[in-house]
Amino acid sequence: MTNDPDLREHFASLRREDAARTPGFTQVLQRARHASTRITGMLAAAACLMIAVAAVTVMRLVHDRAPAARHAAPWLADWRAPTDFLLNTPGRELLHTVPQFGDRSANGPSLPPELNNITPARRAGTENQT
Amino acid sequence: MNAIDLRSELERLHEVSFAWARHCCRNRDNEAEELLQDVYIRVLDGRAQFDGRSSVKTWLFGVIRVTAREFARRRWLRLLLLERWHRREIDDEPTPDPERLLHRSERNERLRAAVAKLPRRQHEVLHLVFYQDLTVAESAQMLGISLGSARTHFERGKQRLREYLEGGDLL
Repeated sequence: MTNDPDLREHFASLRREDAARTPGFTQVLQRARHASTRITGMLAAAACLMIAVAAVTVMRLVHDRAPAARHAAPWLADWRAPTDFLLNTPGRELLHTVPQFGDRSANGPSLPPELNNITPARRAGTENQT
Repeated sequence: MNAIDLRSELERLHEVSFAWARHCCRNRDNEAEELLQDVYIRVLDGRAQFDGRSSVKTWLFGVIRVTAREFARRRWLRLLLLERWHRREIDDEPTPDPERLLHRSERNERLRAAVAKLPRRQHEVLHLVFYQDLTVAESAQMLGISLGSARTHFERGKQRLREYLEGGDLL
């Protein structure tokens, strides 16, 4: 290994020149610490940014979906089955109307005028007295 | 080895470490410093641990070499993340002193150019042996190759380097 004094001398000269432009150890270490802190900060900031973007995206999705749901509700309520007409059975209107009882004008002779304003109970008492 | 010992070892080996880092970064000083910063943080944080199987210098050079490879792979990603831009904005990077650059002798520049033209293994072995004063065996251990292979690279590298330097067609 000692047989190459020419090459060793070349490299020694190179080493001397390089030594002059080598930054100090403390300087490199300080920058290393600074860079490490900065990279950690950048990663934390990137993580926060991603969380914020995800949150905004979720909120926007929820917000966009809500009106659609509101529009869909009346549409569903308005829907009618195609076989709905089968439920319209004959005489179905009787179930929707209230029958009238005691309307004598339709079924028999009308009451004398003096009994028109009297309740049925009192009217029954008056008739029993006569 | 505790943290204080490690720090003092790093300080002791700083100059040769920087030279090796510079060599691994193809003589780019800024990248070499960035690389060394990463290595120091790894070592001091315990992510790279010395196991005592070799000398501290050999081990540290191995860490620098592995980290340099990772740096090369990550370079595109780092550019993508604009870290480089961010760093340029914040750091008060010392600009190369023009006067000092002028003092680089022509001979040294010729040597740099000649070494750069060699195949990677050859210039690695030559740098470790001639510049860093490691033995061929230590270089082989550090590069993870056999001693025979390291010797072959060493001999071929020397031969080629002499040819380049004598040829004078480098610059």
